[in-house]
Amino acid sequence: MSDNDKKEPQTIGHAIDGIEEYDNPLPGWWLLMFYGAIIFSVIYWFLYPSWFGKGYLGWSQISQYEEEVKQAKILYPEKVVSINDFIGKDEFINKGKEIFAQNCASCHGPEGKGLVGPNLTDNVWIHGGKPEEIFNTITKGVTAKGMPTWGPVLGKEKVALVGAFVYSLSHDSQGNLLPSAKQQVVASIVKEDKIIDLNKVIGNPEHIAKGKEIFTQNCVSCHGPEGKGLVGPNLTDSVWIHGGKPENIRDTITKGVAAKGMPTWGPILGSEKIADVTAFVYSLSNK
Amino acid sequence: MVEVSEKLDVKQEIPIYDDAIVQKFAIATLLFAILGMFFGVYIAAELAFPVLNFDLPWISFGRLRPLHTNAVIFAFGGNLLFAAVYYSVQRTCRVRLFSDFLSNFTFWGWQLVIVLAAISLPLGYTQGKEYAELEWPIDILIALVWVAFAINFFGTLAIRKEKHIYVANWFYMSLIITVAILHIFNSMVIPVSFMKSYSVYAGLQDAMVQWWYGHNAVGFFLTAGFLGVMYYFMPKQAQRPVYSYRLSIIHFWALIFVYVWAGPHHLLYTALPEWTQTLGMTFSLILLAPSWGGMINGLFTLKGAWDKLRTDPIIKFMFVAVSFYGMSTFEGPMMSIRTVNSLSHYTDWTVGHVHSGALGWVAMISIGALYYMFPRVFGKSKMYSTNLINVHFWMSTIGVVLYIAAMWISGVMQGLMWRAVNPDGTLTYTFAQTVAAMHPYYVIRLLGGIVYLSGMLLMAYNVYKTITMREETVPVKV
Repeated sequence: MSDNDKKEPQTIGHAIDGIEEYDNPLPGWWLLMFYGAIIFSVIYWFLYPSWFGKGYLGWSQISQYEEEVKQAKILYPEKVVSINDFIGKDEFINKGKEIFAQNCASCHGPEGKGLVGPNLTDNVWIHGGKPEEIFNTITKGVTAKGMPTWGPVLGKEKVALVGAFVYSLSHDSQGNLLPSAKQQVVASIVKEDKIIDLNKVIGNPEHIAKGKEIFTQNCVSCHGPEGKGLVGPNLTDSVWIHGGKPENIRDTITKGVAAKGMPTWGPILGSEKIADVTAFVYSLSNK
Repeated sequence: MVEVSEKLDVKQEIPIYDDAIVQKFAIATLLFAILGMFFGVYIAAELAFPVLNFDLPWISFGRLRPLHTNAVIFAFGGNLLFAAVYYSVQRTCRVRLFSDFLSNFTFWGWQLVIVLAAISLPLGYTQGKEYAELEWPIDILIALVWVAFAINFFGTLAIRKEKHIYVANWFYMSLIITVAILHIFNSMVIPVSFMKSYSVYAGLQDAMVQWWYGHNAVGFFLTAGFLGVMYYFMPKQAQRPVYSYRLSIIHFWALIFVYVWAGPHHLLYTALPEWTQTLGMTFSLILLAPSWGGMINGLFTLKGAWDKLRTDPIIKFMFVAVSFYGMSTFEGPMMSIRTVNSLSHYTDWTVGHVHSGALGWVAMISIGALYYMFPRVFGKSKMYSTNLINVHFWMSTIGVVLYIAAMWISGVMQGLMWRAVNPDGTLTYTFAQTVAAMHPYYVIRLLGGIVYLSGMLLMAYNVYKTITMREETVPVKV
């Protein structure tokens, strides 16, 4: 046989449509590759999860994941940070601004003036306005109202940075309330003196139209564009959690429901606007 | 050769082969190669310049992409397999095809499938399974045509006048049987309306069956089928004996046995049980040698005829095809290794890998076989222009190299960008940044596609001139 390899190889002795076939032996390197892969695979089946069992090495996708998380925790230890270290310092606030743009702007608006999520530029704080309170709210989120739990997503440092940015929207570097944030509150307090007779407002198309406008600007993000409810309850049905009479509605709007995220609108809107909104809300279920 | 002439003495009559059916399939192959590749070029352009989808749902990437894959695999690849199988099985069995009716049924049935695909896919009808998108009524038609093909092919083998069954026919057999099983079992659905159905398999089982199908569509349609094409047309064109009969037996059985296990490598690091993933990975590694058996037999068949690599552009096509076959069957097992896969999976690397197989191997061996068949079935002595074949060869080679090099770079870069982390452990890049980084490579890929497609247009011209040219001495049609 070995002689034949050196010379012209033998054909198998028949030709099909003129095609002949040599009977060359299987190349050694090819056989080596074939057997090698088979041997490797059998060994691999003993070491890793396979039809032989769970594998000698105890490897699994989950164990690999857990190992990588462990490594990451060593490589990237979570820094002990306090939001107070960042408050009022531009370099941190700017970092926070970037994180805000990527993660928060979709709900709170690009300038933090509120969209689905509340306005962050005024001095009305549903969940507390101290730096630590802001930090906690971002970390834990407000699941009931759709605010995600950012702690595990961003990590403490980024939460503190973004918290410092949020704080800077209403406070200067000394921690004093900005005039812009103050104005929103003060402006409404000025109107507080008027006492509105609800009976003149309810059912009055002019006031209902005004109320609708105010509603669109302030209430739709939680109660929906038609008042049918989103995060906040439906206002078009006959179910009234806090009373459905005009004065009940007015009081609820004025005082808010802090426990459930309804802001205290009294100082923000003033009694005149609240009366109009009351007329509009009342009209939704009393046509 | 001695034996052949002896046999011919015994049987004086030369069978009248049915070359009319080969003509039809060969023309259809060329037509759908151009159309299928055009869709490929168009969606490549959409990826680089998204404005090109013009906000029209019918020509959006999501709908044209399955149209492209179905067109190149089943319309171009499928028609080529029909043409090559019908051409070579008659000659290797020395009989006319079993049934002229079945031959024509497979032709018109297959073209109907293609037309229905071309209508239903842009309209958004899909089963949502890769390479098996077509809805159930079309699936039934495919099954019917395929069974007709099986009867016609096995019928021809049964009435053969040649004692031995040539190696190409073994591969065709595995193609026909396995694709039938794959297609029928993966397409098992419960129809809920005329063009809507739900898979009978749930969740993970559905994924497993899908990739058992998907991987073996590659293994038996695009590998075994085209190895059969290689085993007939390469020794014919080179006029050299096949390198090793022994190797062809061993690698054939090893290939078809090992291939069917490898599907789970498409589902590494998923909910698929780990032991199944391991099976898919290891069988993919074992598959390397059986795959290379075909490459060795192809390349070494040129032993003693290496000069033809300079002079014969058809041999060039076949040689480069087999080289790409060897390269992508090496790359495949490497990509199925868990750690490599965790980088390559879901990136453009996969797309590059598929196209080194599709453009490099399948299309180039097909082009070689077509250049071999066209003059013969149309009764010409040779192609109109050998120079144009040579130009076509270089366009194809440059096109495929541009394509896969761009996808390699883009894919590896994409994988690395996805896993890059900052010193503080946060991700370095947003997803949009990785997309932007791929843009230049998408443009290069588009360029590669255009060059490759232009080569096919050149081929169409050459074929047209061949069919219509007048020769002084018309050779006897055999």
